[in-house]
Order: sequence, then structure tokens, then C-alpha cells
Amino acid sequence: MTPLQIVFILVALVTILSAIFVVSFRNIFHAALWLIVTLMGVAIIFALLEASFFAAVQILVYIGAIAIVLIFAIMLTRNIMSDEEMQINRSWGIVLLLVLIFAVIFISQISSSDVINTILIPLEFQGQESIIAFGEGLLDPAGYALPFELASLLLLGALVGGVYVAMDKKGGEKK
Amino acid sequence: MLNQWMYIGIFFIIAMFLPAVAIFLARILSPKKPTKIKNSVYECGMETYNPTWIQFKIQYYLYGLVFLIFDVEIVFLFPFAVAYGKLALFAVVEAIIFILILLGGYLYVWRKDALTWQ
Amino acid sequence: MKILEFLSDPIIGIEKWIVQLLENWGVAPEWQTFILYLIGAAILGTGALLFTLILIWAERKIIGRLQDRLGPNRIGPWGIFQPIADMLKIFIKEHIIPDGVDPIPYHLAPIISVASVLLLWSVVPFSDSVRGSNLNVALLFILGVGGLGELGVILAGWGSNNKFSMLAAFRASAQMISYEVPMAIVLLAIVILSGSMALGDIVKLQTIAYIFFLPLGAFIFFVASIAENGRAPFDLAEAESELVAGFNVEYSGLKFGMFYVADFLRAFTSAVIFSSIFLGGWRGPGAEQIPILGFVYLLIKTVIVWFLGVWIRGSLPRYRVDQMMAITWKFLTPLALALFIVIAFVAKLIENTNQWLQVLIFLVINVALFVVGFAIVRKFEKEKERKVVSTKKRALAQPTNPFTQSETGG
Repeated sequence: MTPLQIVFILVALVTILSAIFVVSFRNIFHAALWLIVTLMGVAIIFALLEASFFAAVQILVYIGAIAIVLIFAIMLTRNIMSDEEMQINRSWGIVLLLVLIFAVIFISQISSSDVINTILIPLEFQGQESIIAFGEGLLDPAGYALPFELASLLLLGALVGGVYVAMDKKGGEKK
Repeated sequence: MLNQWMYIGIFFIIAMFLPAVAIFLARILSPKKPTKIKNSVYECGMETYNPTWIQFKIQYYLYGLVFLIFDVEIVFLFPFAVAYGKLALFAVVEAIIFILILLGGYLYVWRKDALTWQ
Repeated sequence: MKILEFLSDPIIGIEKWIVQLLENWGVAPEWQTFILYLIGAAILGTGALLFTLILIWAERKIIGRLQDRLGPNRIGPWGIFQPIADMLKIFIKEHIIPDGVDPIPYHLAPIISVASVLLLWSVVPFSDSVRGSNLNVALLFILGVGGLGELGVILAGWGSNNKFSMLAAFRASAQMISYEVPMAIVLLAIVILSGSMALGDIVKLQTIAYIFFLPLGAFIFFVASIAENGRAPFDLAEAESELVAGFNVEYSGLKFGMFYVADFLRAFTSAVIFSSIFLGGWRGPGAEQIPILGFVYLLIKTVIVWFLGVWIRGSLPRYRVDQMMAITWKFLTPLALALFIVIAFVAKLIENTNQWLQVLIFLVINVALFVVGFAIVRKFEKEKERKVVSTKKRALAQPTNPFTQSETGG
């Protein structure tokens, strides 16, 4: 057991546990906090895989922006001081059984397939070159330039849509 | 690169550990005399009349939304900036088109008066 | 000669000695690095926290002098033991925990605030050979821990179970996230110039300091980092009379002390990062041969930038919240975006020319953009000028007190 494996197992356990807490806690704000722990766990896994750019992006965008917008949205839509609803419905036993069966099948098939289950090889680029290669590929017309521009259209749609819907409510508030 | 992240991981644990130890130490050293008045929530010196209900302005959500969109845009532009030395002028024009599309959205948001604090 | 060699780079000397010690004890190489990192991180973290004491004293003295009074001067010569006295006092204050607080966010918030500031110290290069971590995405990491700081503020507001503190926390975090956008765009422009996100590389590549390439970017970054820190003139979150003490109203004792420490340390940390990115960090005459000189240069540059921040804090009045948001969303962000677009375009065109010519062209672009931006803002300001409502001759309200009445009233 190399130290890398021990760290990975610990982080993976924490991530999975906090993901379970996200969906099972009653207090929605606590669920949001556990979501932040889950996202942090994913960022650490990215760092362990030497995908440093994605680890930093995960911290910056997910924890620094999305989690905060999520918390703002929670505050906006609920009366926080009093919510104690049941988070589980009555058929949870059967669902748990089905999920376990599915998980067993899924994990056994993935870990025995040759395509996905490979050993970690060190990256061919080190340090800054991996990001340079990423950048070149992203903007290469024969590479991912079209998805790059489409991503900006997607962001534009999100921005305009979000502001449009919110401004209606804001205008309604002022009246 | 793993070594660098390990350093940051160690530093993060130490950075969380140091204030925690300090606060714990202060907790031990400080007097503990909780009275009912001291423990009540600060409300400009008065008791609360009604159950607490916050009028949450939608302005915060709008700022968060615009910040999020710009954050993702900047994240997309970072690899472009790092690979800048090796890119042709065409790629630079591509990236500028990327920004201009979002600048158009930003102009819309500005004109809709979503950026003004009410 | 060995003493001189040790003195020119003491930290590497100590590191070599520790490695020798560990080798003699038969420790494996990975554990050697681990122990070295542990010791280095512990020393850096504790050093940064203890350095805050000097910072607090210096800032209080300087602000006192700016406000035409002496700062603390009773405890020790020039009041130098004042922060220690403050620290002792805060240590033994009672931790009043109000009813109904959420224990985990409430207790975690000061820790996360301090941790997010301390994490910034781990990527700064102190000299040619001494640095915390040469992360290859250091700039993104710096922006990311700004996000962690915002999270700390929100946790503090939520955990206090207090309407006012929650409102103040949202306001403070909205301010912090709004000012991250221009910062990030200026960092993009810097990466265009340097071709690398690692702070160590950025400092090494600055044969001409980047502040000459991008003075407008430096200005935007400086203003944005002051605002993100929450210092005057943007200290709305702390000194708003309608929100009492802001998001940390329910904290007492050392937990409040931690927020205070995070605030002061953040100012210095932003100054360190500013001088690493724009002023050339540890570069200076002779810094490559004698690494300890590099550390001294970094210290001097940082103190100058930090002093500028304290000067601004003591001089300018506070902005209203709508002015503050208008500054970032309507002035700084469009300006930074325009700067980035123009720089990206022009830098590709003049890529292969002489470096001094490049500097000149960049300077011209910066100044031109600043002038244009300012002119536009000035034009908008003029349009919103209100009509003058009264002249000097209107009748004033007369008090009925006979002792204060006079002919012209008032």
C-alpha cells in the first residue's frame, strides 16, 4: 500500500460519505455544506491524478462560485429558520437494494474491463507543458475550437436566461 | 507535481490546525459564565417580536450569477493565455470572439439594470 | 568561506543539514521530503501568524499618524508590546456562544478564514531557491482560495443565527465575489505576457517588471485586492451602522481575534502577491547569486505596497454599497476586459520586435485605455448631475429660542 493509495482511499471515503450526507440531511443548509466537502474531495482526487489545472478549477469554480450561488439560491427560496421535512419516502428499502445490486454489477464490470481499468501512467507532459498542450488543443481549429465557441454561447444563454428570469422577479418586488 | 500538491495539502492541514489549536487553548483559558442574557442573540438590544424571516434581496443572486459566468469564462481563457506563445493570430481572434460573445451578454445584463444595487 | 556560503542562503543550508541528519537516521527519501515539507510548512504558517503582531502594531501607528494622533505608545517603547497585550487580552476573554447557533459553521468559520489567508503563503517564491510549492497553476490557486475566504464569511454569517449578521455576511461576500472578476482578468493578461501560471516562473521571467507592461492592470489588481480584503475605502462590511459589527457580531474572544488576524494578514499577503506578480518579486541586483538578498528585496517591495494600502485606508472615506458595486461592475470589469482584448491582439502582432519597443507600445495602450475609460465615466457622471435646488437666499427654519435668533436666521 503506497502512501498514494492510502490517501486516495481516505479521500474517496470522505467524498462518498459526504455525498450520502448531501442527499440525506434534513437541514438544507447542512446539505449544502456537505456538498462543499464533496467538491473538495473531488478536487483532491484531481490533484492526486496530477491534473493540477482541473483541481484548481474545481476549487475556483465549484467551491468558489457554484457553491456560493447555491447557498444564495437556498437563502432566496426558503424560509430557512423552519424547515423540517422528511427527506426519505416509504420505499427506501427496495430502492437501497436495487441500488446496491446495480452498484455491484457496475463496479465488477468496470474493474474487469480492459478499456477502463488501466494502471495510472505518468503524464507525457510535465509542469506547464500540459497546460500549454491543453490550450493549443482547445483553440486548434482541427481540435476543439468549435466546442470552445459553443461553450461561450452556452454561457451566454445561461447569463441572459438567468438575468431575465431574475429581473422579472426583481421588477415584481419593486412594485 | 505531486510533491507540490503534497506541500499544499500539508500546509492546508497546518493552516487549519494552528487557529484551531489557538482557539482551543483560549477556550480552556477563558472563564465560562454563561447567563441567559449573555447567550441571547444580538438584536440591537431588543427582544425579537416575530419569528425571524429574512427579506433576501435577489440582487445577491444576480451578482453571484454574473460572477459565476465570468468565472467559467476566465477559466476557459486560462489555457489560451498559457499557450499564447505558440498560437497563431487566428487562435487569438477565436478567443477574442469568445470574449465578445460574452461581452454582448454582459451589455445586456448592464442595460437590464441587473448590476445596480437597489 | 563556509560561513559566507551559509549566510548567503541560510534556509537552504538548514535544509541540507536536516536532510543529512535524516539520512544518517536511515529515513527513506519520500519520508525525507515529507518531513522537510512538514517542518517548512509549520515554520511558514507560524511565522506568518506571528508576523501579524508586528503588522497590527505598524498599521495602528501609521494610521494614528495619518489621523494626526500618536498610535499606541504606552506599552513598551513606541507601544511595541501593544499587540502582545491585545493578544493576551483576547486569549482570556470568555467565549460567549449565543443560543441556537449551528455549531459546525459557527466554529469552522474563523478557522477557514485564517486558513484561506495562510494558504496564499504556500505558493509565494521567497527567493531563487526558497519557496513553498512551485505549483504550476499557482494563479488559479490564488483565485480559488479567495473563494474559500468568501465561504468563511458566509459560514460566519449563517452560523451566528442572527438576521443582521447573515445580511452583513451576504453583503460582504457579494463584495468579495464582485471584485474577484477584474482580478482574474488582469491575471489573464499577466499570463499572456509570461506564458506560465506558476508564480516562480512569473518572477523569473520578469527581466522588466510587469508593472511597466501593464500599469493599468496593476492599478486594477491593486484596487480589487484592497476591496476583496474588505479594507477602507471598501470596508462596508465592518463599519456599517445599520448592520452593527457585521458578520462577526456574535463572535467573542479569540474567534473574533482570528477574523481580525485574517483581515490584517490578508492585506500583507495581497501586497506580497502584488509585488511578486507586478514588481518582480525577489528580483533585484545580485539576487541570483546571494539568495538572501532576494528575500530582502521582496520584503522591501512588499512593505512599500502594503504601506500604500495603509495610506489609502487612512485617507479615503468609505464608499456606499451601490457606489462600490458600480465601481467593479461598471468600471473595473469592462476596463479589464478591454485591456485584455487589446493586449491579446496587439501582443500577437508585435511579438517578434524588440523588447523595449514592446514595453513602449504596451504603456501607450494602457494609458490610452485608462484615459478613454475615465473620459467615459466622466461623461456619464456629467449626465447625472442634479439640478441645483436652492440658492443661498432661501428662508431658513427659525428656531424659537430667543438666544439663538439672529437677523439672517440660523
